[in-house]
Amino acid sequence: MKLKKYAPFGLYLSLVALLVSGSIYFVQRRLTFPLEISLGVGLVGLVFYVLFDTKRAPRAVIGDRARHRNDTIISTLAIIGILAIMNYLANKTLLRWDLTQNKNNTLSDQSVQVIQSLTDSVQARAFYSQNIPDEKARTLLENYKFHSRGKFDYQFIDPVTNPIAAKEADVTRDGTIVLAMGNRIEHVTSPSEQELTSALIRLTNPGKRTIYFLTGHGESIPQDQEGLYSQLRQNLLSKNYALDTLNLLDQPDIPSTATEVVILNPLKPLTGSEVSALSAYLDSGGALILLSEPPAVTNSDPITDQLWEYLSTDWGIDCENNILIDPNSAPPLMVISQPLGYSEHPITAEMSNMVAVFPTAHSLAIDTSLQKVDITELAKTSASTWGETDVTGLRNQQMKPDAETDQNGPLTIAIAAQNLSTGARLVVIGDADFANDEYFQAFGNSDLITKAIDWAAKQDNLINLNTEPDITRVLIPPTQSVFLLIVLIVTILLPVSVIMIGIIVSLRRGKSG
Amino acid sequence: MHNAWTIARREYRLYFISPIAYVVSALFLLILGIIFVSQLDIYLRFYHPVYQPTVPDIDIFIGPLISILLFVTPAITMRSVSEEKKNGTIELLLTAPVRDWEVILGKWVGTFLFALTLLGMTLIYPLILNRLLDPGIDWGALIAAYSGLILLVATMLAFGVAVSSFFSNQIVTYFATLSILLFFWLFGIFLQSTSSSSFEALRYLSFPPHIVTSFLRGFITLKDVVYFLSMTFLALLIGKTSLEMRRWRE
Repeated sequence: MKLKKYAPFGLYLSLVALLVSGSIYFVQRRLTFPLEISLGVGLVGLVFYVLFDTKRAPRAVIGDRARHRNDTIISTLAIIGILAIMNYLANKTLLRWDLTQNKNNTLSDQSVQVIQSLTDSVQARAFYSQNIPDEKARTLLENYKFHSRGKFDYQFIDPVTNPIAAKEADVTRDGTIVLAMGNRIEHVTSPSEQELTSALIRLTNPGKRTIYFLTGHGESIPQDQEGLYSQLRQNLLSKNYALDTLNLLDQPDIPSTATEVVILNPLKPLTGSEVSALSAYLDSGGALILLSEPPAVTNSDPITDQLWEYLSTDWGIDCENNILIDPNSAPPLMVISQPLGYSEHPITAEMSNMVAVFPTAHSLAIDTSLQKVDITELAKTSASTWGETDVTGLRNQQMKPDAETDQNGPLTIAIAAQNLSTGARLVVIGDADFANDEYFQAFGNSDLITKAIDWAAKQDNLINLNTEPDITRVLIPPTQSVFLLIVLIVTILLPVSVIMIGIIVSLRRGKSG
Repeated sequence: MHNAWTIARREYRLYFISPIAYVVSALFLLILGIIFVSQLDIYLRFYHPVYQPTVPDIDIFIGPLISILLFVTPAITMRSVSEEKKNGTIELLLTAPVRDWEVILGKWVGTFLFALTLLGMTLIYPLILNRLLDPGIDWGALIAAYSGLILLVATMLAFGVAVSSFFSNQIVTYFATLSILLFFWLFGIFLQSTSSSSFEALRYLSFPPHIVTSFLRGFITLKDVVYFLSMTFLALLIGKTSLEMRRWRE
């Protein structure tokens, strides 16, 4: 029979299929469709061999040479089995050694506790295009997965090649990690252990967090329509904040459900009763964000404004009646914060190399003598910026610093403060436009406003992690001649040396031979 | 075991007699050197302590090193058993009082020692990087990365020796080994982006998940060490079985 010569292939096919079956079962540990197919192929191969090689098939089982072969096959299969069991057991253990200097791959005990106490599975989707490095995020997510006992998994999605997935997840910024637990989601925009663990805590404790936007004085309210603050609104909603409006003229007290109150560009001053309500709210440990345009733009006077008076006396923060001018910026009214001017603060911690831009801003002054308040100047302008007080001259395009009346930079443009006795938090930024739809995505603007809101709402640091401090490495650029020497060594000297050694060895062998 | 060590020493010495080994080593260092200085040049051009503070680390040569090793390891192993078969000396070796596994183990240890010599020469790159960074490179991460590289190379060489035991033609051996190594590497990369559980087994068997997400990130995981040792052992077992199969046909 012609088919007889093909019979051994049936046996080989059968052996390979059984090997694959064993591997599939080893990993999946259940009867899946691929396993069924693999077993089926193994069986068909065996039947093929037995049917078409009726003489050799029995000899394959009995006879001296066959016995020797069978011994080898059995011992090989036994060894494969032992290896499979060893791999299975090794996979069950969490033994690993982090050799990095910074312990980059070791989560703090607190994070491990959070990840291991997850009640439901968490799926992380990291939206990273090829334009930004994803190494740090990958390492972190892998660490969370490692410790999660199967409760945490992740995948990377390129928002450029898959914009639909990014849109569905409400991702507006490259480098966002979306954590999902059931129907609840949390967005993380900077991949750090602190951020991820805090987001996991928020996911597992979905208490309602409401941000009230004050109304009644011409304030801007984040709305769905484009052109206002729709991107800020979308961002806050994606962080599971509930947004609502608050009219203190209509309702004298701030609701107890308020996580924080935001005053976004008031055009008219607040009344005494409204300021009293805010003061009482802050005294009870509340949080306030104030984004104000220059008084010259809103035609207001900070000296008579009761809100500024309260901020000055109780918080040591003063509004300076000027418009910031940066002659190096285009247009000069667009002030740029200096990356080196950021203070060490949770709000600006991840903005070390990112500027923020502020169109039509005013500067702020601080009084550090108040012992109950911990004040941080978050962002400063460049040294070339000055605070123009002559608004009339400005309207006539006369932009020159007046040494007597105008302050020279660097000037403070954003401040964060915390009352040490009540725990109340306050963020004041001398510009409101920087967070609108036109500028929200510009440089670090979205980071600054969202981190400020998170910090004020005490959502930034839900857990104190004992992590190793980062080691910052600095490149010491070599001189031209040193770089040339490096090029010479690694591209010429090293390969040529190997060839030379080869030639010498050959010559010596030639002589001795 | 003594026989295996004797074969290993002979095998290692043979590399330093063969001109091909020197040419392969020189090409290996030349290509890696060009990639290293090119990468370094890019970092030096764009580096800024505030605006672009990313500094070069060992990744700039470890990634390319793995890619080059995928092509170099088949060249190292292609002659190990194939040459003995081609010259007919394998028969002498197999009739000598040496066990089959000692032949395979000796051949593998010989190639492994040569590969370690090559890897040793690549340590010049981290040493240069260390001089250019303040406070130097992360030596722990380097140790982890090289541990992974050594285990990966050990496995790849074991596959090479196993394949060479099937063929007497060195070119065929080279391309057969290269195909297997590329298969084990590339399908791992391809499957990393798929989430289907049907491919879990294949994903587990591939190289990348066992080195990219552990050793190259600075940590050593027991499961990955066991994986590489198992794959090495399995490949050597295949090589040994291949030699035994010659006896079955006799």
